[in-house]
Amino acid sequence: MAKLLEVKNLNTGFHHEGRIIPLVDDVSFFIEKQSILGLVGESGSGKTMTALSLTNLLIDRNCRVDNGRVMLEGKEISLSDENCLKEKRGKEIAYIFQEPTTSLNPVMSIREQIEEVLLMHRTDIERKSIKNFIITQLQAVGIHNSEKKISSFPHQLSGGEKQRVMIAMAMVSRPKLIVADEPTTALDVTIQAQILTLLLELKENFGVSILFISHDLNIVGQISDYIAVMYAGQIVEFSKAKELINCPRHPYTIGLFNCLPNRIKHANVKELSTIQGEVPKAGNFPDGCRFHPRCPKKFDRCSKEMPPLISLKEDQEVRCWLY
Amino acid sequence: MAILTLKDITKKYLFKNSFFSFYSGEIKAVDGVCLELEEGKTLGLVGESGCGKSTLANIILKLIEPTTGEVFFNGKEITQVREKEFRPLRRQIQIVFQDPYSSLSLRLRVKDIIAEPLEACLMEKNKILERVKELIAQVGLGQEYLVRFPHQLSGGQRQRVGIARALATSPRVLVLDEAVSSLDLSTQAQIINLLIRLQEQYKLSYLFIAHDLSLVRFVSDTVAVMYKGIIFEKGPTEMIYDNPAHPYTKLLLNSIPSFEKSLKNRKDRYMIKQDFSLNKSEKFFGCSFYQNCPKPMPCCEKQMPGLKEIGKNHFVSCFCYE
Amino acid sequence: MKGLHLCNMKKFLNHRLAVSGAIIILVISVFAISAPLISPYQPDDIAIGQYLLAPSAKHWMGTDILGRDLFSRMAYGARISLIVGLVSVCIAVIQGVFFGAIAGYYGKSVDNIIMRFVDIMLCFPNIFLILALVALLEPNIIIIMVVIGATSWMGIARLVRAEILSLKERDFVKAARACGVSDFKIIIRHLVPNAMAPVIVSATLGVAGAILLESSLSFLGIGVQPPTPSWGNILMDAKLSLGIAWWMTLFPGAAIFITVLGYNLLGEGLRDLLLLRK
Repeated sequence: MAKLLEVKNLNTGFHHEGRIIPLVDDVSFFIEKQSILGLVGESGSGKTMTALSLTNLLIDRNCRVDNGRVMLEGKEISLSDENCLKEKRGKEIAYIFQEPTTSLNPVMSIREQIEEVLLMHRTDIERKSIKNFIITQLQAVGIHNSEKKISSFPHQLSGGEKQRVMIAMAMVSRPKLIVADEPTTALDVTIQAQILTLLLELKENFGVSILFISHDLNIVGQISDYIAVMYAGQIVEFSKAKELINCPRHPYTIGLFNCLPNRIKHANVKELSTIQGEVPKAGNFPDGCRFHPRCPKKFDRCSKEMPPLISLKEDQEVRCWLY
Repeated sequence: MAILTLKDITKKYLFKNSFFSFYSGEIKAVDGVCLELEEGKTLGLVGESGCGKSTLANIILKLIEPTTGEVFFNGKEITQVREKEFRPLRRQIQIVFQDPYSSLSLRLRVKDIIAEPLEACLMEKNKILERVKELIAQVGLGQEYLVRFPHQLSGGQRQRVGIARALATSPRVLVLDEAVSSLDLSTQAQIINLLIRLQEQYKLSYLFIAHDLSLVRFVSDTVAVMYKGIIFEKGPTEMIYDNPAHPYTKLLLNSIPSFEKSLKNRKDRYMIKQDFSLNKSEKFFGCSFYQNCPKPMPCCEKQMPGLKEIGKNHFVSCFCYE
Repeated sequence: MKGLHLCNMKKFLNHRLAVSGAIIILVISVFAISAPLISPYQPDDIAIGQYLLAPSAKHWMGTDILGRDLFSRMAYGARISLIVGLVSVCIAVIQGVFFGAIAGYYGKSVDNIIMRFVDIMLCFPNIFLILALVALLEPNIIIIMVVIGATSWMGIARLVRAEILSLKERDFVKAARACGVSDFKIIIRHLVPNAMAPVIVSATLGVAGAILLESSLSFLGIGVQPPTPSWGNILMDAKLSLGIAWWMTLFPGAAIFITVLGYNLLGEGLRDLLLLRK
């Protein structure tokens, strides 16, 4: 299938007193049209930074995209041209964040907030039909009673409903790509399952691609077509979801899968298997392979040289000297 | 014998609707909860956010008073006991919190944090440091961490300090209020293993409050499912997970994300028709799950079903089993 | 202070406002402390016939209407003004933290009583309350400090109470209560140190306010009593010779202005560093 988004050698760093602390280091991946790429990693692994770097939406002024190319449908997005980026953000690449409560403005009604996005990106809709359009949008994301809900304020909605509103807002401009940064982490499991199904439906019905960021391997495994595993600012494994689940290659991915409590089927297993040590902090990454201090399969070369992303076969890459 | 027994615990909060009314309503944060925690075992408590799990934890620790009901610790009723007389019992029930960032005072060093409960129970000064050193080793941290401040530690290390503080007074019951929920996957597994090891070593009893259902299955001996302040189902872990009886439990278990299950084949699953939201003004006496239940019956609208034993130690609160 | 480790020295030194405020305060303080060393005359030495002399090499800031050296009076006056400012704020902080902490921690009726008392105190116009108190009592420097302190603690009490209301719900306080730590220890060890940041800012700004207040009182003649010099009563003396001796108003006026500015700058800087951090 054709590639929608291609990211090559993306580097983002935190600049502090002449020193650069790498947060996203040489990240390359692609997303096919109408597919979901799951980006999974522990906190501080650079998942969110990667997502924000796509449109240079970095909040801290000390953070900068230093290097890298982002191509949307074969056309390069210039990461330094703020005007061009503003056009892309929201219109072609829309974002959904973790906390629906803080992503919505508490003093504006749902209608006003969606209208705002609408007027910015959609000139093809007549003013008169805006209200009806918003109502159908809300229905499309599964909000019951949307004629009434349209005039309510964020605090009158539940967490799940707020996240649905966020998704509706992201979908208004019919973007090509939705970047969903931990969209279900703040929600309860029952609601989480519904939101995930909704995202899948959006993919099927509207042909949108999704970059789905999560720390939960279970969710990513459930929803994604491709999975990229991040560790310490780098992608350590990238492959088709089925491939990755059935046969994880990188020791970190294997370790993560083994940590999952739902892998344990026998009652007589007393302990979870773990990965020893702690996730390294940005700016404090070890030399050589960044995973080597915690790796059970390390050998001499690992502590000296950083392994490149090694292509095993088509669409499968691993950053490990074992291969 | 059960080390901790909750009997009919109810906690109501009154609220005012307007300036002039004296009071105009009440919310039951916890409603008629009965639970037993066996010595050396783990009781898992699952439910959505806002269902009253943490309120229950606070009641057990005697940080808030229940409106009605009794808590028995080791056969002794504790909710009516005065704070002064209760103080020696306090050290027997301890808690580990969810957020390792707010559960440690930022301005104290690790050794002072762990020493605090020991000072509170008037241990001799020279013994305290010894005990603190012993504790920090037990939770798998080196002695060099004693002089650090919490902001110099990672999430997992902070949680270890939190556990060391809870263990300081050699408690018999540990309430784990989402103790591993905010940790990374690999760290979470380490902490769970630590907790399991400590339980075996000291015959600790755990009340394990969590929302990660697969984790609860792994650590718990018995499980209770809570919804809007009410226990819907409780029983031995395997029985609940293999044969869930209550429609809400079924829904919860069905919602567990797993890379082994595909979302597409779950068209038959239950759907919550309305998202959970507190509707204060409405007076409704029926089953609190009524609106979202896939198989509601006329009687469900009129009253709340009671807990009924349907298997050995397996209780359900649903009219389907009356 | 131990609690300040969050705001490290480096950040402070990079903050221009805070540093310039601190430098001003430092210079004024050195000026006040070294008063006996640098002043060429005793502050109440009267040189007969040398009244209202313009600044010269002999009298750096000129002399006043009684022939006293203005520079010496300014130096000794700085001591009084700064001490009054600092001590009265200390009194206000102690009082405010005490009442605020108790109100916030115990809540319910205790809170209600204390906070309504605060509301009542805030209803009185400050200056009239002080006027009334000073009229009843004999105006000396200690009374002035106590009175200023006792009428300016309410803001701090409110700050501390609000801070403690949110802090006491935090898990580390619950953990301490669950271990059976006494209320007194929880307040002293866990709550007050964590609530100090806004108090420090407010106190720094409060010093500026207290210095101004003392000057106003002395100017009205009910503050620090002559012959003890304070910047306020030097200004009052200048009132009589306003048209003829510009130095009599310029130097004390400028001194008050610069000191108040210094404390305000430092306060704003500390606010940036302690409260508005991300």
